[in-house]
Amino acid sequence: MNRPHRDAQSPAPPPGVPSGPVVRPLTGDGLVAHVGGLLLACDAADELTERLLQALWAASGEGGGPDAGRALIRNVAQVLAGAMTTSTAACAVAGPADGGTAVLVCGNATVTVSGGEGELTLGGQTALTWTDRFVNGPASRIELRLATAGEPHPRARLDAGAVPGGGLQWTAGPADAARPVRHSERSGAQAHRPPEAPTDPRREVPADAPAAPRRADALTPPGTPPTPHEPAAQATPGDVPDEDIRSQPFESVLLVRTADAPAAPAPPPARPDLEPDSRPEVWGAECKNGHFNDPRAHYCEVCGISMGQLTMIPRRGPRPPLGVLLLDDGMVLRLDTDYVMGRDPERAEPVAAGTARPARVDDRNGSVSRRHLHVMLKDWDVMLVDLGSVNGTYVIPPGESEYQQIPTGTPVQIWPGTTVRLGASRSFRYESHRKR
Amino acid sequence: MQGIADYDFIRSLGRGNHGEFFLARRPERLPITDEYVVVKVLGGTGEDAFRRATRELKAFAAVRSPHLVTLYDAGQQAGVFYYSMEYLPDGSLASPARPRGLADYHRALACAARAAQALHEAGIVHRDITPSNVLLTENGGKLADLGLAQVLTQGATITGMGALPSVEFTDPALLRGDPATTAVDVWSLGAVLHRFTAGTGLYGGLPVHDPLLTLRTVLSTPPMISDGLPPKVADLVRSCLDEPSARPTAAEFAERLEALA
Repeated sequence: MNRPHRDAQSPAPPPGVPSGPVVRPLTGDGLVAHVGGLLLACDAADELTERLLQALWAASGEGGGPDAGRALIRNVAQVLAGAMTTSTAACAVAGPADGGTAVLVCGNATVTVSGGEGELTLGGQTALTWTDRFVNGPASRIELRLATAGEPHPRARLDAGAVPGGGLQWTAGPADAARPVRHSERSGAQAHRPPEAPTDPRREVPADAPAAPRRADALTPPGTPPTPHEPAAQATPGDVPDEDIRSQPFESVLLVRTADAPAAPAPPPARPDLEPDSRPEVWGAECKNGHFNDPRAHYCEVCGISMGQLTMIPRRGPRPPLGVLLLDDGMVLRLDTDYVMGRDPERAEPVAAGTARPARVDDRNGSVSRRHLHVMLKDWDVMLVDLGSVNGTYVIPPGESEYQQIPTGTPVQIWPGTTVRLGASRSFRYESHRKR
Repeated sequence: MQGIADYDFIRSLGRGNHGEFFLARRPERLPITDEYVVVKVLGGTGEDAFRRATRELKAFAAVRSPHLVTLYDAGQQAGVFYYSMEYLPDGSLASPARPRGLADYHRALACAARAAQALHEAGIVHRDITPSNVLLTENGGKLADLGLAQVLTQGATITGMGALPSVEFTDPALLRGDPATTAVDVWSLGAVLHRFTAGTGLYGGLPVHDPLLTLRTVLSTPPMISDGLPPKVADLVRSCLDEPSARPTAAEFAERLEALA
């Protein structure tokens, strides 16, 4: 059953059109099918296989064309949802959508999409349900693999139809491959947003499944029309207990270069500045040696020279870092901009607006709020604003020994040497060589 | 942890500066022939941090040097970030698999310095050169594991999680918030050389159980070169701790170290 496809089923390539995409079956136990750029590989019970094939034909019939991948993913998700409680399947599908590629993978199977800048692999290996993704930009190669997949025969091809096999390999023709590829890496969450018609696996989970991370409000009965959801619907770190991580789908990007990689990617440019120079301009004064200082300082913070005797001429200049925050787990944060601290700070408003960086701070008993504390730099001062945290923010000013709670929503200035506690157990210290 | 993605872990290899290393079997999908690989699992990261970290690792992987560890893939599962690399069974300067002579260590560090030079020429600062990132090979060494602190948490100069005393090898200017330049890697090369030649660090014994106290000590104590160092080694270490513009390049460091042997 390993290599039955080699001499059968595949019609000879149409003469005169060598430049289009080529689909080659891989050896292995299962069934693979291709129609009009829509790809399916599955290893499942007969009845389910039949329904998956119907889902594929239906998607190609629904209009085919450049967006058929979307219909394919939707159809297949519905079939899988219906079969969830009765049988398990390994299955992988892919098809064109929106100038990119829509993929879905379920059970012990992987899908790899290669573009000019790299590869993205999605695996469903131990997932309870399935996962789907949209990969931006034209692909140069798409490979569906079941567990038993081998290599393609170089002359085998599957221009349309269904044959036994362990996987499929789709390669773009020279004309397609020559197009510049903007791969998913570029635009973060946008690049990997699920297809608009979402088939979030968490929507349809059998009631007796082991504890998989899911939100109760996301559960809808099978067959419910999909509704749009937040693009960032992926499990957030910490939502999934360690022992359940492997029940989740994974994605991976290949870093090692393969011998048959399309074209060696251009060497990346020298490390771009991770962020533009964000130092705001403030009023300050220079010491005799030209170091830019807080105009209220009596001594230069860099060389320690007295600033008292100088006739100071304040000027605007970029503010140097105001020191660092030393966290109790060893993290050191540079105070050159604002931070929002908490369990899930990335969606805080100042972070979204680009005026603050997120700093993830968590503890085992969950006493740190999602958005707990805003560390705010104002000219030469460091202020704390508690963002309405459940368990509060406490400070020990330098020279004192007891924690005092700070009020919610009101900026409170802190000085170097201050210790700050978030909730029950996490703390940090503000350090600076600036003395005031 | 039993594994991540399609990697099945065999055993833990220990904790690094901000993650844990595991020995794992190679999954079928990787286009390599090694039987074993090393997987580094970092803590939970956001989607943005994953994109940035992957971009950094791609840049690292694109640098051609025989003295850089080869990276295989990077990925995430349930928001947990990991990446995999080649497995070198001889261990690191911090924990060699078998006792080696000082000449072997010098040779390995010189190789790591050449790798750092290759990174520098590609515009990449490693930021995390420590004894555990200088890996031993049969006749030299390799530099592993880019410091991703700044990438995983923007603004961070060091991320926590795990054995902290690696701050001993970090240029204090970086801790104070100065931007990372290639000179900080040279500082680290000098600190590593000092550590395994003298047997002590530049700050003497550091408190290991209190990260806050450790960092305060490092920030408030000037580094001291041990009297026990041979004069030529002491000179080389001293030049690495000098003003950034006066430090040798990583390649010059490698040459001077090789000349000592």
